Amino acid sequence: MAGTAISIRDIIKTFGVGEAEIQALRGVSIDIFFGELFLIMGPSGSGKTTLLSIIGGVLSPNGGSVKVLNTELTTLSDREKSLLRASKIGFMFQEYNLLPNLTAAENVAVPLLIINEPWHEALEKAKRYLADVGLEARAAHSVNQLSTGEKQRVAFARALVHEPQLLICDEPTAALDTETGVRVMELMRERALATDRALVVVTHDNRIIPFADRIAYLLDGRLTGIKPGQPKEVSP
Amino acid sequence: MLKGLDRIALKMLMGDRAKYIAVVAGITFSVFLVVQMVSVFLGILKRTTADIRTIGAPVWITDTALKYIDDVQPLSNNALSRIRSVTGVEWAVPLFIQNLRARLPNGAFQTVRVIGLDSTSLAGRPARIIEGRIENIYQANAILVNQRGLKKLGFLRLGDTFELNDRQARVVGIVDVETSLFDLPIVFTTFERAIQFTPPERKQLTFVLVKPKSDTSIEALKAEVRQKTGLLALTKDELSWMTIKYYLTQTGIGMNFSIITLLGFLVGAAVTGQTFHMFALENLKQFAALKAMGAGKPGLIRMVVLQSAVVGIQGYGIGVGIASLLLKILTESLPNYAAYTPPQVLIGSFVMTLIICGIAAIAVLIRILRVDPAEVFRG
Repeated sequence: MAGTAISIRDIIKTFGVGEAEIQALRGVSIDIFFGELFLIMGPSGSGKTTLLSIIGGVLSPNGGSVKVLNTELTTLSDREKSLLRASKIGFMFQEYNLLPNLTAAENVAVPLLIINEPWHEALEKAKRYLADVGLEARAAHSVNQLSTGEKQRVAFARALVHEPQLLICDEPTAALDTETGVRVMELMRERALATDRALVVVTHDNRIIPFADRIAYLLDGRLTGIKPGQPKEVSP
Repeated sequence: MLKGLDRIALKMLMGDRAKYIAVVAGITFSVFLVVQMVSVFLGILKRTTADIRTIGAPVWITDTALKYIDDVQPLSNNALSRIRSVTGVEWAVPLFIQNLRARLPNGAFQTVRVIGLDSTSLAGRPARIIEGRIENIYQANAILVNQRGLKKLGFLRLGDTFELNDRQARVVGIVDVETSLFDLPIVFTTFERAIQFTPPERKQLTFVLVKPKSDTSIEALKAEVRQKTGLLALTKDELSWMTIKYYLTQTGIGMNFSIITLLGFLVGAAVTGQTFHMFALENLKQFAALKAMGAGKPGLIRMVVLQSAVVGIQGYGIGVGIASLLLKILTESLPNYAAYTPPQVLIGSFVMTLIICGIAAIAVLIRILRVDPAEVFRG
């Protein structure tokens, strides 16, 4: 492995107070390395999305240490965390969260626009990334005109367009049929995985297990084990 | 210069056509109503002081009990000579103003406003004579009537006559003057003849018009007039403001127009605020995604402020445009339609637009800035 991308230690996260308090994470510790596709699995309510949110710097833990890309997130201000997310982390959301009134290319360009890249340069780069995922012809289409699989690929291109060191994916295949899901995971390994980038994927879809380098299992907020995956070789 | 996120903000705003139009329409409606109502209100107020501008004397001297221009307080006939003795007075002339009842050739009655001018100087005479000559005023029973008034007097022409207090009045000139509040026919004649038209009264002088000497300050003149005659000297502007203040505070005009204008503002603000807020709520998930992807508070604030500014400017422009067009059409087609739109009305309605958009933007920003970016991971 090329080095540690994420190092979390004894993460605790609770929601609510008093009798309504829910312990979402109870002392989770994980290391994730550059160059690997790391899967987080577990049943609903096991804490996997909470863990992903903490790794992505959009949620703060109640205790423990979260070191992402050599930066301790628990000591950062909101502004510093925003800057880190904007420049070094790519996100693929379960519901894609594409902006409905924008074209596919404009949606892909959003992370570049957030870091103040000029409009035309951002759009050109976005088109290149769309071409990489086979959507060159759909660049000028509104995302409302795209199929679910195409939206997924737009979201994937958007997550990568600013060349982040960490890619965070929340249930990337949840809404896809098996064939499309497999294609997305192949694309992920082929286009996203790099020696200077780590991929963290939260899922409860067993179909994508073969694509993972390692798989962490969560149950009731606790890490029950980390197993090696059987990554499929993807031909370029 | 638009940044990339600014363009995204505009596309988010204009992509939802229905809501975008609703927000702009809300501001347009509010601006239109406010500009329209305030213009009509100012038009009416302006008409209350039309006679002051028509006569145009720099200083008016009257009884201290005067409340407004139409509240005629007769002065004793020796007031004129006493005022002429004031050192700062260059000239002083009598003026008669009173509403009288005219009997028309067809037997109908019509109230007219009679203005009696100093027969020597004709100070206060109308600036624009449409037909006839001002010198005709010296002819027997001569009067000059304003053009709009002639219609109310049965479409009289030069040479036609009617009765004023059982005395014959003959039209020798047609003049153009500013329309006054009640739009009564305005009859100009000499001071002496005006008194002849009036039922006998002990005091028949209503105002003394004065021009101060060039080296005399108005304040000094007013003080001297007060000291030597016990009368009140008012500049043209002071008399106008006194009249406007009277109509604002002593009649229902100010209150009623204020309520309607306020309602226009509130309805516009409510429609705009509510629609803009709904727009924000529906886009909350998108804003949460932008936050998750690293968009900071300044960027999000800039997006919302830009959206708010765009709908504000568009709503203001369209509202002012429609209001101006309608005011122009109505003013030209309806002679009795009073409207006056000084630049202050446009500035005021722009400030109002800023307030509406500012309130809407703040309400939206509170929601957006509070939204948890982790929402996007909760499905």
